[in-house]
Amino acid sequence: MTPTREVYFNIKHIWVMYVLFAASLAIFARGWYGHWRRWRMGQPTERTGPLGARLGRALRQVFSQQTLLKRYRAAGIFHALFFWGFVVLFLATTVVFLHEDLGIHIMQGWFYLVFQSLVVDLFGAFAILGIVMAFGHRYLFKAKRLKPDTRDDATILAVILAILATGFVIEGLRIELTHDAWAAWSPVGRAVGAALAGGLSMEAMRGLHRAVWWFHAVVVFGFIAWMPYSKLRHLMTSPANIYLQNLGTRGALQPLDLEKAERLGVSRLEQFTWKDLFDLDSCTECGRCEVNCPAHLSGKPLSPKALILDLQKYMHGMSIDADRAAVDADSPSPMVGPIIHEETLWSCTTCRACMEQCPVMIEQVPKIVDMRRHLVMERAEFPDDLQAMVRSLEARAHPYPGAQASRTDWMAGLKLADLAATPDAEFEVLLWVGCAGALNKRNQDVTRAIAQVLTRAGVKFAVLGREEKCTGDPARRIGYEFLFQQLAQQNIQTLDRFKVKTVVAACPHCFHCLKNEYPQLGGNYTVLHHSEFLAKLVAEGRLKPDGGAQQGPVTYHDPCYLGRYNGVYDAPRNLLGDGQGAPPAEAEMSRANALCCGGGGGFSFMEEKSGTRMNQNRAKQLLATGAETIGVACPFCMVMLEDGVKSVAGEKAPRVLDVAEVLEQRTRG
Amino acid sequence: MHLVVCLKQIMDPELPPGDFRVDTQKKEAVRGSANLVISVFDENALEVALQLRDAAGGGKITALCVGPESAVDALRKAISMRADEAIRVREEEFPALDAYGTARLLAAALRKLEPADLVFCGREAGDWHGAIVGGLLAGELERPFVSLVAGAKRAGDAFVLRRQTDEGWETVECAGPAVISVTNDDANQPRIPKVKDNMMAFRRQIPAWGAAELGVQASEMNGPNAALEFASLGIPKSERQCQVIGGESVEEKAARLAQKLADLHVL
Ligand code: SF4
Ligand code: SF4
Repeated sequence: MTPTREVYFNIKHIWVMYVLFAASLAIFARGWYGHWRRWRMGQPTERTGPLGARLGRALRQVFSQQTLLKRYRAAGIFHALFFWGFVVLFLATTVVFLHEDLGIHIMQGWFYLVFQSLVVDLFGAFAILGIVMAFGHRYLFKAKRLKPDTRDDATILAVILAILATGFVIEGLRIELTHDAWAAWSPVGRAVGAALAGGLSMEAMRGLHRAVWWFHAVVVFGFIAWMPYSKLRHLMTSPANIYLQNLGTRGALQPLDLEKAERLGVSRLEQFTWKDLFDLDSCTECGRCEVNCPAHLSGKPLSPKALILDLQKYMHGMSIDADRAAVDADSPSPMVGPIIHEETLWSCTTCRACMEQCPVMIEQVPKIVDMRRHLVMERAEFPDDLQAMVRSLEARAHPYPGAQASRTDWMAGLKLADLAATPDAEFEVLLWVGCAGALNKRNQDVTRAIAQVLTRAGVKFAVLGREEKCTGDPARRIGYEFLFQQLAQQNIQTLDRFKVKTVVAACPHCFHCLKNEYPQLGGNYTVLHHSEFLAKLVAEGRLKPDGGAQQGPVTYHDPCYLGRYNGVYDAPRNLLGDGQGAPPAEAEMSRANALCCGGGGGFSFMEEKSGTRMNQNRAKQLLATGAETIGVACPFCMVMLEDGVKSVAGEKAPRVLDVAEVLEQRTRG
Repeated sequence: MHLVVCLKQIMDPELPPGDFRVDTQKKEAVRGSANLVISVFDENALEVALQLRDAAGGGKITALCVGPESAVDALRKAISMRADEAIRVREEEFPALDAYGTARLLAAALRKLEPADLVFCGREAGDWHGAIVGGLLAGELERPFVSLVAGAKRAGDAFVLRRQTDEGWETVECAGPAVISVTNDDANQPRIPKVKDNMMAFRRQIPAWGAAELGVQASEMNGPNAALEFASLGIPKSERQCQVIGGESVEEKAARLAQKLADLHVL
């Protein structure tokens, strides 16, 4: 006899099930149709092709469950357990459908035994294990990021558990009632059946089987119908959102066509792209973004999770048919202000921790910047401190109001090729100093150290001197795209005039901007951060650093725009030495998880008005390593952390040195 | 209500001290890499005018500048902040203007414009800090002059002006037309223009008037005090000296220090 089983064993009036199923599908479809109409309100953007590349990438990421397994062991494991449980159970249901309804008889023979019985049985059990772990994680260990907890969350777990458990009860009873010859292939089901059979008559088992079968069916159909209306949505939207991920340059903000754009930035929901709106429905409410957000951790009125969920709630409550045509740019925004407060938008350092953490690749930063663009460019509203910065950028092309230094002060006593003074000087690489490196006292030392090390290595380099202007990064991050483009275009003209090919940037913000955003405006150069270039010189043997004994134990702080934005983690670490040959101690939260120092997104030019200080929070983590030298690779981190470390540790504070300064000390001999 | 704001374009006063040069021969500052900006108090004056117009719910603001071709940028900036009109008086046609000449030239332009209810000047220019053009202009126009105004409101046909004095604040009501000079205050920090306004202003043509349009003779502008002449122009040198005060005991050192300070007239 071929191994198989009767699909509707013991069940009468099977048409009732089909009616219920059809009804549940109708409700399901209606829910999704509503979502689809909402997403369609958004602006066009290209996120669907090329199919092959996207699909391959998405499948790999979804099926490997990599983001979760990599970062969150426990949660990753139970999520993977019930993710895989669900995939297998879904396939099994499809097999039943093919076999019974389409008459394609595949549910038999070895396939029936190995897949439909054994594999399904085991994965069902895994899924139950996953659910139990999830309950524990949520309610016993009370993972903080999952707050606030809603009734939905508990209901969802309970429903899934009910579906899985009743599935095993049905299977077990069937095995008992039919004296299934292949029961050994369904070990969990058989055990459940055996346990139930102990105290029940055949008749009772028959009745129980039928009752539980119908209960199971109703719950499953209910689950399907409920999906688009609850957080369960993410079962479908999350994988889709991963498919729709940004394949462009990481962290490069979308440029605005200022001449053609009817409005600047986003003040109404439908001005986001459809992908932004899709993002809102993909959130799993896992809270991973929030627990890594420096603004949230320091008590600022911003949580990337709440931002997404507030917008989601607003979108769901919106009337899609309301006439939006008549809205002009000057009418007050129903969203920026009432739904997403200005202070929320001004609390973001654009550190990208949220985007790095989000398992479903939701893009928070571009949304925040889009709304800032509206505030800054349409309404000309921004915090006072930033006004001063903007004025300085406009009048003097650097963001330091009241700066006493000039762009060439740091060069005093060094013999350098300054293109502003000697335009014909020959050079191979251009050292991009940056405003902080030129005008901020502490960072002038760093610039000097970089120049000294480059000279020591015999690199033919030049600087732009007075011809250098701010890259425009601070303007772009606060949403002042207009000013960014002005500054960028001027710099591109200058760089092209001097036929610059390779740029070594002494600031991760300049580096990111020059490397990833200038190409949008026609500026194409090979751009390296100074840590990358110096590490290369060491690797090539052009610099021979000693052990670095004077540093003592070292640790390193990853700048957001070097690490998360550009994936440069090892080069700066390689420049640090503690004299013992040990790698730098890693602080709590490091590399891609590094906590922002609080200096990005315009914050270096703003006072923190609420909560605790972001730089002190990070300083504490770095101090806990016991290091005597804290390595940094960004002028903003330098200022933020020197201050943070001093205010936390006082007199005993360790040194904060740029990796280039450490290398300079290590190459004196 | 017609408000006219007189602006001056000057060399960026925030130029780092190390970059500041003067030409001792020509007796003028060398621009070098410095930017040109609207003189700070003039920006405050424009802001007061803008607030006054916006609060009154209507009226026209004209920005007026005696300056070279480059002054068009300053006027465009004023337009981007939402001044309604801008006029440049061609400074190139009037060489060696002094404060009196500038006031007379402004007065000539004001006579040609639609009559102004209030004329705004900055307290003083951010380059030479003369602080007299406003007063001279009022004299030239034979209008009352209210100095050091921080804010202005409309009350019926009159203006209520809040004025800074050494003792505190004074509120002046004036029927207008009048000339006022504006000082800086938290409440009149110049606004940052909206980008749309910025881009519109960039395309705006700014009319320029010269001697012919104004019906004046260049040679007649500078007044009776045209004899005023700069003797010399230079950058003061700041020198630092370090002296160590010696002494046997703390008391002795303190006494010597006190004596030194007294000799230097700082105590
Ligand atoms: S970019 Fe950083 S500061 Fe901004 S919301 Fe995300 S995690 Fe928070
Ligand atoms: S945005 Fe992403 S990381 Fe944040 S709660 Fe939603 S799914 Fe989780």
